[in-house]
Amino acid sequence: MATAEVSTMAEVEAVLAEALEDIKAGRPRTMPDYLGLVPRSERAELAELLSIFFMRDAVAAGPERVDPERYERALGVLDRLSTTGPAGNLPAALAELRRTRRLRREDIVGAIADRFGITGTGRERLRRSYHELETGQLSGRGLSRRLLDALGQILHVDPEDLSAAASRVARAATGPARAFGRGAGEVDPVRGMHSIQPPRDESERVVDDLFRGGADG
Amino acid sequence: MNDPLHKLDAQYAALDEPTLMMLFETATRENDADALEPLVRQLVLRAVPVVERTVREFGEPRDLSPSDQALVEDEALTKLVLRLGRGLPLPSIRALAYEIARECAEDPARQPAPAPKVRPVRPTLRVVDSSLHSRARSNGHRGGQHDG
Repeated sequence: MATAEVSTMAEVEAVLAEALEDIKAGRPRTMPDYLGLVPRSERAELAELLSIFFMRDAVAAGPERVDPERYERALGVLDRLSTTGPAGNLPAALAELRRTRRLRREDIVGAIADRFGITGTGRERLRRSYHELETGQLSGRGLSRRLLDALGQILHVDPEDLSAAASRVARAATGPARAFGRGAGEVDPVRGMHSIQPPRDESERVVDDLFRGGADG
Repeated sequence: MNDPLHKLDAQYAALDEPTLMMLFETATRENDADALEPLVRQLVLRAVPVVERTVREFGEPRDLSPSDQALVEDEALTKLVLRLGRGLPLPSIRALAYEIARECAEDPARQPAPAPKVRPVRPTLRVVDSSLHSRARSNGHRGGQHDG
């Protein structure tokens, strides 16, 4: 066994022993505190080991008392996020994250416009495209990587999470999301529900690339 | 995911956390979307106490009001749903919930609730006119005495 591997294992064992001491002494720190003490590559294994002891501790302490109102709110979040369409549950997630950050749609549009230098008529096209995205009218396959990265930065969320949400298309979602009360209709797999006018200038073309150009757009 | 209640919800609600984690791992490996959706819901509901406690622990010292904390909790739950939806290996739902809730509560970019837009109104006070006082007396008012 290589020396580095032995030393990493010893590190994990030492942290595990430290955690068990803390748990026994009734002063456990939180799991991420312990995870931070070992190399990133070992965290999954340590988390698995620690969770056994944390779980036992939690079971011994009995169920935590939580205000029922909190469960109601959590169910509300889950319900809103269960709305899927041609862009998976990304539209619902964007609306939810925007609400929790107290941002208006216009704030998001402004931030995207600044980031990509979109001005003039492009700005109106951007406003309309973002509206279409948040209301489930665009296809997740049309969204560019650049747009998801920008949304991730604006809403403080991992762009990979947004990308995965956009690709979770509902089984029956060749039509638009149910929450928006629209009739069934064919959705272009990349361009979305509506046919749009061709871009009139560079700024409008940038918007189309972002929202309808596909991952590399 | 459009069914508000999935047929497996009741079944999963009765299971303990290690069993749910095992089922989640299997459903993830097999890319079984039908099972993943109710599993994600169950796991998120199990994480609610962790999210609530963590947001309070890290939100209160940052002067987040109760309504701010409620929004942070909703944000953490949303991010938890998104992360679980990626189907990555998950050693512990509690550890992940803690990590996400802490990040959300400590985010320096979070704006506190705007102060209410109420302008203080300066009261306009006048000295009572002495002629008004004497007029009141002539009308039979005697400063608190009753005629009986």
